[in-house]
Amino acid sequence: MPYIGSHILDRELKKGSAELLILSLVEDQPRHGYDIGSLIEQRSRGALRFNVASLYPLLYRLEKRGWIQGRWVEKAGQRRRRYYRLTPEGKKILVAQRSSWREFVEAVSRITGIEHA
Amino acid sequence: MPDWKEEIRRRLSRLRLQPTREAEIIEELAQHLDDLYEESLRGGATKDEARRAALLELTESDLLAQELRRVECHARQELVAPGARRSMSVLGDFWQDLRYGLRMLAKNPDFTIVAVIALALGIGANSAIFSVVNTVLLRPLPYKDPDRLMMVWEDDTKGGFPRDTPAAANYVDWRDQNQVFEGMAAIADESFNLTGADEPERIDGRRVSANLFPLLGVEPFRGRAFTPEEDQPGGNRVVVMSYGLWQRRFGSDTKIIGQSLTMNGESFTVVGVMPPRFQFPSHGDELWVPIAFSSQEAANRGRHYLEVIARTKPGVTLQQAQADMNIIAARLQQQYPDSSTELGATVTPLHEHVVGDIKPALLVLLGAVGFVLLVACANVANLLLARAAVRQKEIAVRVALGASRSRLIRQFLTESLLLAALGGGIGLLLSLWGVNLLKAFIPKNISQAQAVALDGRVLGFTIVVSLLTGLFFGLAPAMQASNFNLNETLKEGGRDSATGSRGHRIRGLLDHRGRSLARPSDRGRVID
Repeated sequence: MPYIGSHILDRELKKGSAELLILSLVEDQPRHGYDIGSLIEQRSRGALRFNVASLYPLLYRLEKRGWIQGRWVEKAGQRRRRYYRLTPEGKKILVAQRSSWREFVEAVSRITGIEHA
Repeated sequence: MPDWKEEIRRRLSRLRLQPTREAEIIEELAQHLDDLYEESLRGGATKDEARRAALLELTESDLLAQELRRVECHARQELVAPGARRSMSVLGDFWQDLRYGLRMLAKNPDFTIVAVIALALGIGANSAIFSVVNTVLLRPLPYKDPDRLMMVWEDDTKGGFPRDTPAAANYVDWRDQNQVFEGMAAIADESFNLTGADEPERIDGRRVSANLFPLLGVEPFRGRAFTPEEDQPGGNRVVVMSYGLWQRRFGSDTKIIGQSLTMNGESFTVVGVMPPRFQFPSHGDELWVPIAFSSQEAANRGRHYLEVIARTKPGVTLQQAQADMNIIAARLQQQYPDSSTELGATVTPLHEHVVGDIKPALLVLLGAVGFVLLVACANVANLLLARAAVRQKEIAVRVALGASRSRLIRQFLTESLLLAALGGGIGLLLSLWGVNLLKAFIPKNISQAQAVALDGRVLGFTIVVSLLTGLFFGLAPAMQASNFNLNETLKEGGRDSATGSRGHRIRGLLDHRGRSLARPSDRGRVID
């Protein structure tokens, strides 16, 4: 596969899916930024990785939109950290994005013949 | 643990974030790097390797700053309903009010157009009249030290002429005997038939004393003024012409000096051309020749036909000059009892002579257009009151969001000032046209008539009038709108708020047209 094509695809996929990834990760429990970044890297087995420059602006944007809410939390014996949780508005967006993402993946699969795992 | 904060702060400094927000972001990003650093150490990296790995995260600091700017700065610019409590600078509030005001005006174009036209007419008329007042009454005459220039008249009050044109013999005595004037010059009407290569032309001019131009402090543009020798009978076949005549009839001929002109059938030599815009005594005069009294004329006390201008010595007041002339007049009365009985002398400032006739008319006109502006203000204030009545819901929401009364007044005043500024701008353009129109009505003997134009002072006047106008017609509606009872309005609920009890009170002040013009198409909306 040509390098440039995969590079662009990688970037576009990341861009399109980044919001969905973050919303999904804070759905069940509040998480801080480093935790979110690490989980994305771990669960994608290193295929997806956000650095500081891309992760935090995205978190702030989602927060401004009211989809997630950040809050400084101090736990015993730990430094205070900013935890992000999903808001009711974010929950609705997550449902909608999951659905459209599923439709998108299925459509691509039907065209390319790639079975999905 | 390395201190990442300085590094991050440096990279974000050009974003100029609010200090508290910047501190939060720096703390959060520094923790991220701490975590990364510790993880690298746990993975077996040396401290140096772990530090470099963490700093790699900031290599794309441009991207970080760019993305943060997009998020943070965009959020700062989001329009919120004016009145919501939020820490902003005064300038920020003003900018926000201005943009909000513009949008409100744009949403109600009927109201805006009517109000701006009314104000433009009022302000434009004021600016046009003020430009004439400024040039004619306020601006100093275009001569050197114009405050020291006086007119000297014969005072024949008994004969019904308190300011009579002097006879030549009296002028000569005044000139020779006074102690208070640096110089004195006589001027007599004269018309010339100019003949020669071109078509014959009748041109207004004056016979003047040779010292007139030095006395005024004006140098010719080309050539020279008259010499004392030329002001003697037989030596006066020389002429100075106006810049306008030189341009018009002689095509700005640079070799005009020394040429001969045939005037009233006699040959005159051109010795000078006066500068552009020089006018004396009025802008109709285009030729000046030496007055050169004959001995017979210089002794004549019966023909009263001169105008006499004089320049006081430095430090001499009008009263001192008048006192000195009184002494001379008394002396002449005794000396020439037949011709000078009860004939006095009156000294008046040249400026008073120049603007004397037109001053009351101009002041009345200025008062009249001022009144027109007041009427325009009252009409616009009425429209604004009507508009405030139909904006009660909007005000209710702002008050509910925490807007203070002063904040509401400021918002309404900003809208008023915006209207006034628009009216002032268009009014200034109208006054350009108005000034040209007015020039045609100014009497020719007002020497500065053609110099009437918009200048910095007129611009300043227009700006001040516009601001005062905005405050004047905006203050009452702003006070009315901000004097607000939230409970009452909320009780009136979903009904058209203009029909509430306050609406009824306001309605009494307004006519139907005013209300319909003031009604926005989507009234009650706070944020569009």
